[in-house]
Amino acid sequence: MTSSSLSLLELRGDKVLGIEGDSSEELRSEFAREAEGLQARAYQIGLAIGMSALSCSAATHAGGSIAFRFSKSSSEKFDARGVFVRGAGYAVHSLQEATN
Amino acid sequence: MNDTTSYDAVIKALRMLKRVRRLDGSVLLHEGILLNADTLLTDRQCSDFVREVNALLSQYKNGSRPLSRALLGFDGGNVMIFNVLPFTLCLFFGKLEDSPVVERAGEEFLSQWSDSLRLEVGEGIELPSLDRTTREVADVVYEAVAVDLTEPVTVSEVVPAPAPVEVVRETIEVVAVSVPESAPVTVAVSSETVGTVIGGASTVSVNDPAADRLVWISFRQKTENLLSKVLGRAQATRLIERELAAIGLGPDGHLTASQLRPFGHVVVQKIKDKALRKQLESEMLAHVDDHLSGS
Repeated sequence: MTSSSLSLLELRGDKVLGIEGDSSEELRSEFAREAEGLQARAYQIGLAIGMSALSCSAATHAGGSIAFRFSKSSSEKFDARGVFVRGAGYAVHSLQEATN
Repeated sequence: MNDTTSYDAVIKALRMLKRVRRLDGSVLLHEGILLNADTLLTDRQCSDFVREVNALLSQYKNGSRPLSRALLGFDGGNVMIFNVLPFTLCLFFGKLEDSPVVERAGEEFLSQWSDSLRLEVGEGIELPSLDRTTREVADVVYEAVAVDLTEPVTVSEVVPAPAPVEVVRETIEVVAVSVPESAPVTVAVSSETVGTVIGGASTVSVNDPAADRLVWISFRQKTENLLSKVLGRAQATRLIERELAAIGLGPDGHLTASQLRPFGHVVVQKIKDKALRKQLESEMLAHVDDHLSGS
């Protein structure tokens, strides 16, 4: 298990910016697509149980791991911050913590 | 131990886990079908939850990368989902800070029951923790790429400003207003005031800027609350600020009553999901009408 494919990214407005690690266009697009899919599903789950304001999500799957959280206050200069790992699974709590 | 006995035993063990770890609840699925729910959710909520969890699992499965675990954090609570075929275990808990403990408890529980429940553990149930300090750190890259947003807000669209906006200024202008019964009178009116002098005769309709501001504050608060149904609170605030900035207003600026409706419309159009947008549109209209009738 390697950490070389781990990236920290931020969403600012309509742009995904690489902050640390691999930040190729391909990776950023992949992160955005996957985060969008996860967010849509998470939102529906929250809606089902009466919790509609999603603050963060993390997932580990056969292809890797992803986590993102939305900004907690307007002092944070991003709309969302995420961690994206290709090919390695991690405990979801640690992925979530990595976005802080 | 046959399946029924195993299920009974695992459900008892889950209740114990919930008590010991002080979880808010647990839901256990077997091949996508609800086996046990020990939560405060209503039956309807529970069946909706199961349906949506199955949709999440299917989404990953269809992408040839089955989900093994997920953590979903909401303003009112959190859910951790363990997908160890043929079972899916969902744990509800209150504080996000407790997620390490909850995850560990889930792992221990599944390890303990892996043989009885014939779990497909694959590479194992326990996952390592991500240590950010050990990863390689590349140069900071600020190269941007335009992609689909990861939130249901479309900020990439260029949307025209809803209506001309009077920029708040501190200067005082002097406006001459003629009143028929008397000699011309000079009335001092702030440029902040939205006023009309009809036909240069006796009618002077001047809105109270203080009242306008109060209406705006209330409108903004309610708009934030409305958007918070589908966005995070900070996101909702940021979206409103961004739209205000787009029409040339700073954080202290405010809109007049006539601008509330177009502004509300523009903000709601940023919601990407069509069904949600439609729902919010109707709420926004009612909410604008409330403010206009009260102002």
